[in-house]
Amino acid sequence: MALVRKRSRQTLALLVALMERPRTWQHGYELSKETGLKSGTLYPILIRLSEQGLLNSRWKDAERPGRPARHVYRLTATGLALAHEQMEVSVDSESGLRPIKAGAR
Amino acid sequence: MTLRVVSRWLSNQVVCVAMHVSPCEREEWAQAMSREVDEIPSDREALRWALGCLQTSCHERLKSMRLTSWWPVRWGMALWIALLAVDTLFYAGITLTYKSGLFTEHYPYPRNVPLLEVTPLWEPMLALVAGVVFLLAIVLILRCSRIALGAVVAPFAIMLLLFAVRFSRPESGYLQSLSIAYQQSHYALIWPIAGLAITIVICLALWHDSQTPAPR
Repeated sequence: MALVRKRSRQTLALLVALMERPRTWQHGYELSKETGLKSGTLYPILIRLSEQGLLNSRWKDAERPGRPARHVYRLTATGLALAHEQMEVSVDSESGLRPIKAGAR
Repeated sequence: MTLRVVSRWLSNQVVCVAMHVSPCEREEWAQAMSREVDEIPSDREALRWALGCLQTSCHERLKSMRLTSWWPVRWGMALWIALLAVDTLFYAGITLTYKSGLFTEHYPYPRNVPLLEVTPLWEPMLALVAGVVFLLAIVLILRCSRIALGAVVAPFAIMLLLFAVRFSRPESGYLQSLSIAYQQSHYALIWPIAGLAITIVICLALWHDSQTPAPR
């Protein structure tokens, strides 16, 4: 049986947030609110996932006119498979897959 | 100026600094983080977000930096390795000279004679090899070569092995001299420990550099 490397609690929270709406492109701030991760934690994870080919990112025009385009993210097929795999690994573990809300660390 | 305006201005300034700090290859990500600030309704939250951006930019900058590309670091490392090389070559030189019979009449350190007598020939030979590789490491560090790590780790491992061998030999007197030094001052052990720590830090820095892609 192949060993699955367990990701950090923060990465798992992010994977869950992205996995819940796999087809929707989500903004960084939106993901931050959903997972409770601060920008200083969220972005290094997003960068790493993107480099590993687990996350797609693109610029999306702002809904309100006059605003600059924003970066949006969603999991790739590989990322989605990994997220499912990680959920199976972590479902019985102590850390679980609960979102990390502020003050709940 | 109200507090709200000041807070927003500060957030924008922090984001600007974060954009500058961020390495070239992360420019897109720095922009992505900074553009979110305008979408955050709370001023306090926007400032916290901006500080997080700065943290990420600093983190990414450190990750992308090759420590040996900064000349004071490179020369500092080379100087320390030179000290190790001198120390190792001095030991090898003095032991091999004695072993070759040049010091039998007027050896300047008669107290060391019993120790030199029991020292096998392979020890100074190994120290000589380590010293020469240390010298090679100096050149490699100054040339920012990726193989400098190997050229430091290999002789360092040989030195540790030689120390272990010498400590395990009771007639070497190493433990006794350490014990005497410790009795004279409790801080006497700081120096060998600091020396060991400095060499380990240099090895870690070289390892970090060997993992970091060359700057574009």
